[in-house]
Amino acid sequence: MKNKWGIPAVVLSCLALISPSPAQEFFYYPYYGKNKIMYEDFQWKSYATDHFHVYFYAERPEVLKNVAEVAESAYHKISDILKHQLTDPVPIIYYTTYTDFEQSNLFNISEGVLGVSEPLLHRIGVHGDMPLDELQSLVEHELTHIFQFDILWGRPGASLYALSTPPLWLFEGLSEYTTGRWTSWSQMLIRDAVLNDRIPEITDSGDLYSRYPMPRDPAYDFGHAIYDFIEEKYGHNGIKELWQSLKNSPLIGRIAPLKKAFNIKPHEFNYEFKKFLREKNRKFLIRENPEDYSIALGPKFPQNPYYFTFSHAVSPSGDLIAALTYNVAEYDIDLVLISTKDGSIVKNITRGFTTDYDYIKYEYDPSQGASLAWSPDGDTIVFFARHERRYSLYFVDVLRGKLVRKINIPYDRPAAPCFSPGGKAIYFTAFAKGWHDIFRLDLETEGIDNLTQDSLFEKAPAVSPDGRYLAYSIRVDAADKLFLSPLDNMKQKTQLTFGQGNTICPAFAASSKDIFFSGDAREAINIYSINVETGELKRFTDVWTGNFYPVPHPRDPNRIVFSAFNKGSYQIFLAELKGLVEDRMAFAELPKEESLPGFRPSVSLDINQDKIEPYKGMQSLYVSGRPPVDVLVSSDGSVFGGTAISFGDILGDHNFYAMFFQSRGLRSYYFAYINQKKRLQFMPSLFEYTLYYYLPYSYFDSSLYYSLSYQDAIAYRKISSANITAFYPLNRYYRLEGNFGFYRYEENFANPYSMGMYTGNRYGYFWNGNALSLSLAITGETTHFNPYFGPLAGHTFRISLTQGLPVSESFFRNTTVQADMRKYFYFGAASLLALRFEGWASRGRDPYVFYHGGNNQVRSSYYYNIVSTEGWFFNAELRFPLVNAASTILGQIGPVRGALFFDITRAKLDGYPAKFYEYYGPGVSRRSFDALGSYGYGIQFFLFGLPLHIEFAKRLNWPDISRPLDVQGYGGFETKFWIGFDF
Amino acid sequence: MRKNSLAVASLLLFLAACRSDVYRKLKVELPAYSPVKLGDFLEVVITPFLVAEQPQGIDVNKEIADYLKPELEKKFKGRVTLNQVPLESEEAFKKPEYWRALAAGSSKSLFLTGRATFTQETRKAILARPARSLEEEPLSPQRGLDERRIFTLDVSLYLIKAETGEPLLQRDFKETKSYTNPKQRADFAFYDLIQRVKAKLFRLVLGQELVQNRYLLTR
Amino acid sequence: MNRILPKGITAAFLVSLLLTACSFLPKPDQVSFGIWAAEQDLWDEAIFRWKRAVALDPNSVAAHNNLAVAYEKKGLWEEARREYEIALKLAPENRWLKANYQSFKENLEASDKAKEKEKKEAEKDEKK
Repeated sequence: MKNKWGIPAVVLSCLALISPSPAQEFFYYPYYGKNKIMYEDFQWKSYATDHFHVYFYAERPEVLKNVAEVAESAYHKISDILKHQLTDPVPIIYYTTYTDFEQSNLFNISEGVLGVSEPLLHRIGVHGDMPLDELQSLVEHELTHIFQFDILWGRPGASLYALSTPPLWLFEGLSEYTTGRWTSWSQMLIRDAVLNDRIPEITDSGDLYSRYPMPRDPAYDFGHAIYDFIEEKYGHNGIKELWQSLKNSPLIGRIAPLKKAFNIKPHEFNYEFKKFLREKNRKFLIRENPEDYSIALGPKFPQNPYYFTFSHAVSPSGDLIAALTYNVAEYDIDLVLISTKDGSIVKNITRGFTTDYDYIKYEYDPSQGASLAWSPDGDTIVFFARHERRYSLYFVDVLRGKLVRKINIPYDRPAAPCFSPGGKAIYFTAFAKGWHDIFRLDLETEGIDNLTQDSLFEKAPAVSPDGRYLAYSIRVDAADKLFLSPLDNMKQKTQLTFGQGNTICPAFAASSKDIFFSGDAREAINIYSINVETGELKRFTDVWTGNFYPVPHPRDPNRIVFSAFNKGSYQIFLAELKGLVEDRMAFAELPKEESLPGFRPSVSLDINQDKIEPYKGMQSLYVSGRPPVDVLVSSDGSVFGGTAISFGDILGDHNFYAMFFQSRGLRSYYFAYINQKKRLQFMPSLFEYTLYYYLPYSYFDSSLYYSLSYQDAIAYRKISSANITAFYPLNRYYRLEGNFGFYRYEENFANPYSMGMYTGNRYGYFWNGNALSLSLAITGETTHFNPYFGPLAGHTFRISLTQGLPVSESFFRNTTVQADMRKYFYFGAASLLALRFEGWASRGRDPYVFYHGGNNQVRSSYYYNIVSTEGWFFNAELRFPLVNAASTILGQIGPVRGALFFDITRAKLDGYPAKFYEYYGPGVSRRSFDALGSYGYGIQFFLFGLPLHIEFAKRLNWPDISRPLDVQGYGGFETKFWIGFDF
Repeated sequence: MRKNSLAVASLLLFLAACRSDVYRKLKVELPAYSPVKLGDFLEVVITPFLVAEQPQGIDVNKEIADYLKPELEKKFKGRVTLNQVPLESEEAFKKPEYWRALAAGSSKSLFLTGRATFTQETRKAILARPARSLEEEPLSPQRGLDERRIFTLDVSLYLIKAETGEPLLQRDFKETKSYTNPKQRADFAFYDLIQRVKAKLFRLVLGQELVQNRYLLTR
Repeated sequence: MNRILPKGITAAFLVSLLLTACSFLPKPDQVSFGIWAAEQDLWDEAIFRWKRAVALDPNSVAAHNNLAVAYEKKGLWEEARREYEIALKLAPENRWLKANYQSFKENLEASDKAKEKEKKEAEKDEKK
């Protein structure tokens, strides 16, 4: 069923493919999408340096200075390494906070994304919620991509013509390499893979492939290692030669970078590369394997569907551990309870999906501290989760397994919640006005105090059991060091750890005298403790990867619960560990924060305030992306094909679209402009659609039943329009839409002469004329999607009211109400019951004519063969997975899904009874029934990225709808085939 | 009437599903009394036994240590170690100072020691043929000379607390088994006998766990 | 002509009633969470919860009874006896509690006898 005034489905899909949809963040055809809300009306400014245009809105002057210096330092460094210069200045778009970054109309930002670079206009997007040295590395990483784009494709815009791109590791590996920085975490990933013999390999096509799950794409860390290897084997020039060889790569076709540059085959390269890595990590072979500590507790993919432990908290009894983990079966982050007795997962507290929050906040970086905390009374677990614009602190009642409280946090990126010993307060870190501080939340008053208010980057606070002290880490220069402060005087900071390396995630022992923490002094990250009175430093492990978040067992201080990195994942272990005294530290009190060394970029700039210009918006327009090609096939065998192109400003706030599509020789065009700068977004558009449907001619003249097939009565409808649509998102899930416009209709049979002869021109419902209409709609989508199967849980709806305004006698007049409502009941394991109800009614002098049928609307009906001015249909589908993935002679297919379905429809054309007719006999007799429907079964699978449906449907007739259980079957099961997404 | 049956069935089903349990019955493994609280110790040290007699080709001390060490390790959470210092005489069992010195400061240790005798003999007698052999060999004589190999393991076992040097437990075990095979190997027979000793010893030392029902109240 | 029988729908309704009926039950609390933990063999957690239940409601028969069982499991006989006695004072006629206590007493008597026997045999050995 097509929307009367709204954008046809094919157009919407093209729209989604080329840019972020208007106020729709997560668009999944045929859905309405969720909303990306512009909370802020950023007052952008720009500033030009030698090699950059910096776009920013921060008020503080040091922000621009920092960004400009970081960018220019990065440019000089990378230009030197690659011996290449960029011809055009690079637009660098700086968002002050991560939550601001998420509001970008240019980039699709999801949790964990630090920065983005794009090949079309060589734009970089970054945010400032990080220490300056990390921002430097990030800009170096992203700027390297720009150099890569420039080397490969030349000037901005040239990448439009490239249909093949080199493998990801070439890009990401070089970007990591040019930072010159190996973090402990990255080194640990490499070491883990080497020592467990899980090193990814270069395939024949040049991609880097790992057959084992990894916390992030191996292109980054192993790509970096490949460049180190290339430098060692072929010298520094080897890297330049590699990229020079890529420069002349074909626009279409395979790229075998190593063969081209070094004349080495993939298997030879793999052999050499593995040898190189094993040699580098040989000394770690004699260290502890995490599997020696104890059985792994909790997530143990694939023995259970949980992979990775992001964070954990131990219950006061010590028998249970709460952990954040990734549920592979449901593509969701879950909070689970684990038994310390046997490591089994005894409860999933956040089973299923919710709209109470968007996602639970988790960290890959352990230095930020644990992502959850267990209250001292054992009744509550807290975690931060994203909700709307910012984050909130959520309280889960452990007994009931339900959310019981939510406190909004007005700061950015809160992390590391930690209960006070009495359970009356929670300490955490967050960004406030660009500074990363420690805060205290009073649980009775919900008041939040900033305890540090300084320019230092504090992380991971831990409160001593006696309630007197706070231990935390501070980023000093480019490393994290441990500090201790009395809670009643946070200005007094005593530095506990010194020297090389990082010391992170502190946790107090029950005595309040010892602090456990993780440190990388031995390259691998081990568990240490330090006595705050004597300074005695003990080391408890000598692992070959990394041990994090050490927490003493509440009932047995000799045992420690910690997270170890093992075989590509964090796993929890519980072990009795003996400490080895390594040193005795002399603590130092910090006189003032300025005395701590801080990172500064290598290039220093003076900012000329006069050169700061306000950003005016639509000064220049640029192509937004490569035009997509979209294909759909309907159940009548018609193929829809279309493409689109869009232009936008440098920030993506203003976009122009042009779309073209065709089916059965009927062409449609669409032009629109959308302003996405503010929360209320508007879109004026011009279009001409030519669509088709099948008139059920025998409805009007049963004698035609045997002389014509239904396809003979194909009719077209051409709509030309100039209109404006406004979108106002109420929240992430619901929005209001309004539309006002002029519409011109032309409608007739595709073969008007012949059909006119047959029907005697008796069909009088073709729309030919003009309409000026106003419509209002409310749209909602809470539906949670599985990347393969589509909708899983939640609901989707759209209800609209349209009024054809009585401008003059010749203008159409009607009032039309439409509703599209869907509900999904999720049973687990990708099985669900999907329900849909669509209804419409148009009344007035010129009621609007709708058409529906076929595909997954009413399977026993021909495609778009039911014509009505009022009507409804209802679908129920039970969907369940059959095959997740299967290797066949055609290649990998899957997932494959089965479905049982049922549908029913009623329809009424103004002036006619609400009946369907069945014709039989040589005299073309007919019997009537109130409703039509079908039931049956089918399978769905993906091939070449398209969802294919093969279904077997049997028709059902309801002679009398007031007796719904009195239904008749008609004929046998018919085979139906169509390509398209499930509702 | 049919409608009423449906209503009653629905109600019964509802009540059956919703019966609020007053209790929950649980099978619980309860620890039984033991004179020796093994959990109080960090280490069990097996010392050489005084062996009065043993057949040729078998080292009873080694066999005892090799068997008891892994068996203890299955049940005891602490360490089980072997001490090679041989006992000089029976007097050692009565000398607390000897054991305290042997402990050398590790007060949380428990010594397992004692004396052992392992003997074997062959006995002959005129016995009736078993019924089965009558079927297989109906013409052979019904009574004849039969011999048996009899092994006896006599263990006097001490559990001595290292901290005080005093014995916590002293028990004698005597196990005998006869074999029809005249060439029965002594080490195999020892294994059969030490298994019985172990079962009785562990029942004594660890206490036999009882599995009983308990009712947890819900309200 | 096919008919969809109403029996199928009735059966579906009854099954859904069975599945959803117990959502009307009282919500979980410390006692029930402790029971859940005990069923998972997490006795320290169970003790923690039942102690919390006693702190919230010192007259909770369930909490005292269940604590007694947990102490029995841990081999803490005196603590178990204390909890049983408190529970019995609160609900002397509770048959499940009495059954638990009876079994507990029998075990203790058997242990006492074993202790006596041990003592006698030790004395006999000394005399030897």
